[in-house]
Amino acid sequence: MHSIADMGGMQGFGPVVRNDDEPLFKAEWEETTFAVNLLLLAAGCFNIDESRHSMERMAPLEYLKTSYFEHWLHSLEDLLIAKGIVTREEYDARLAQLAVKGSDL
Amino acid sequence: MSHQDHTVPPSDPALRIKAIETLMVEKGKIDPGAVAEIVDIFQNKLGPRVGAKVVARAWTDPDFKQRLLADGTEALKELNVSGLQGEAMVVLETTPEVHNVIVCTLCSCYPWTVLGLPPTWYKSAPYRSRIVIEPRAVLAEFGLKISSDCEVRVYDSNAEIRYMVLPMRPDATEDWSEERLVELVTRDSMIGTGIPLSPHRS
Repeated sequence: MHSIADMGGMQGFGPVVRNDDEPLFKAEWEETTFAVNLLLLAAGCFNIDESRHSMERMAPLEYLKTSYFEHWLHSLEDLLIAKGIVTREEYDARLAQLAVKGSDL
Repeated sequence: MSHQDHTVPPSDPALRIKAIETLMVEKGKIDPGAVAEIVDIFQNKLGPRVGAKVVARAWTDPDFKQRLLADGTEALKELNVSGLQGEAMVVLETTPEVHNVIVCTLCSCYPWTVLGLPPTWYKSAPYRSRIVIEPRAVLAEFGLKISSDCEVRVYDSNAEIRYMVLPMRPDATEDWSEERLVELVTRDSMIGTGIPLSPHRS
């Protein structure tokens, strides 16, 4: 399968944009996404190949429109639900619950 | 990370990861507090300083350099660096004849244990797509001109093998100590998109 993630040799993305003053994480949710992913890997919920494969299966347009850590977030949702570690209903219910008290985050 | 305004609704990703985090803590997959610990390790303990020590050691200790190039994973243990996920480390020696540069075209594999987390550009589409087809042009954008008689080798990292570049020791540092040399080793020089600082500048 040819994945949008398989970028080596693609053309048209323009120059490499660098910013050496950038923080390691641009927002708290990026930190959390990173750490949760590492901890769930360590807990054996999924392995690194499954994690990458999940990102590589993202729809090309969605992959290009979203940021790096959003790819990680996508794979977390995808794998946890696919493996039944979390059900879709449970996840949606928690999202709705958090949205209501959103200002506490 | 500061919250400048608590009344602003969280952005969508913030909500999604909070939902996952809280569910995983409740299910016992994640210890409360472990997230903060991981973030602290990556923000404060890992980083290119670790790699810089490895490079300076290799420059000053020929036996260590030999071991490092023969089996990076094993030699790094001498400096208390070991893999996070069991990945192997391969150290690439840059010479006047061969310039090495690393990438992960598929995503973002990077030698975390010696360099910390990759900069955003390393994970970006332009770098991942172009460094393998026009490395000299990309390196020129980084201000690095590689002479035409020097071969450029691009190494595509993966989950099992992480690469790190051993750059050339700057001239006129023959009498420098390992500790002093560390200061010349930049992150980009270990990725291959830069070279160590000049001794005259430091």
